[in-house]
Amino acid sequence: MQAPEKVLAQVAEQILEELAFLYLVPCAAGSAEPAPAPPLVTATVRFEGPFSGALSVTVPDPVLGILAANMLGLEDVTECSREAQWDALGEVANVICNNLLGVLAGGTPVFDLQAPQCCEGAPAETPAPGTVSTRLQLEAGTVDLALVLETDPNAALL
Amino acid sequence: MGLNILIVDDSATMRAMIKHTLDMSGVPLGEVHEAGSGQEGLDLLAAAWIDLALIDINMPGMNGVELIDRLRADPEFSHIPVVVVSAETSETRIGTLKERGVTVIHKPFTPELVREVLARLLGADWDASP
Repeated sequence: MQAPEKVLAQVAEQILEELAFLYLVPCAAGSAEPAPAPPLVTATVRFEGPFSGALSVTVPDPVLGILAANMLGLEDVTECSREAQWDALGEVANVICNNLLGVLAGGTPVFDLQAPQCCEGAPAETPAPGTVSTRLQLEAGTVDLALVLETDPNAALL
Repeated sequence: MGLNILIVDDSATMRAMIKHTLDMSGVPLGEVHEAGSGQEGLDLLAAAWIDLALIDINMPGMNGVELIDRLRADPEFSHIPVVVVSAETSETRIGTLKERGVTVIHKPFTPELVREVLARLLGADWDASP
């Protein structure tokens, strides 16, 4: 199985580009991406299957507005209701999670995904054991992704 | 004459994206109906003439698989071509969907892919330019 951190970053980048038209900006070598600036919104998708866990996508408010407007084809970010913004972020998290599991587990295993849950704020500061995370610097701002693996995928897929 | 299409997805964002993609695809469109659940989809099918249904799988209440099974079991609707629009990647699950005679479009998708899949499914030869 490929390293989850690397796969998480690759899949998230691809889905953010193709689904939400949000593009990465190259970072200077050795420079760390800044943490997303509050207020933040997080969408979480839980999954169960050969291995279980959850994927969280956390974005700052301005990124959320742009993400939703892009997906809905709106020019004006203010035209987008809060409910629509949460729905858009939930859909992004759902598509990232599905595609991520397909790469991590291969094509055969079946996973059940719950409906995305959105909330204001970021996930707990102390990540659960088995969490892999990545931070992407987009033109619109920073996005944090955290994949909590409650069971060891390597052991589960043996 | 354009196609009357039913989009069934619990995400309003995804319904809007699919509708926007159809608009850009060059597929000749008639009326595009939207349903937020399987039951709403069935109600719309009973009320309007539908040429093609685009259905999500993971929905609360009646999910996409149950909706497809209801369509296939009803002589009035069993002929309607169904395209599942899903982020599902499991070949096992996609295989069980295809056994029901549906075509699958994977999320994320492009207008070009949607046009190609619908043209193949309906035996159409649409101009590539929208």
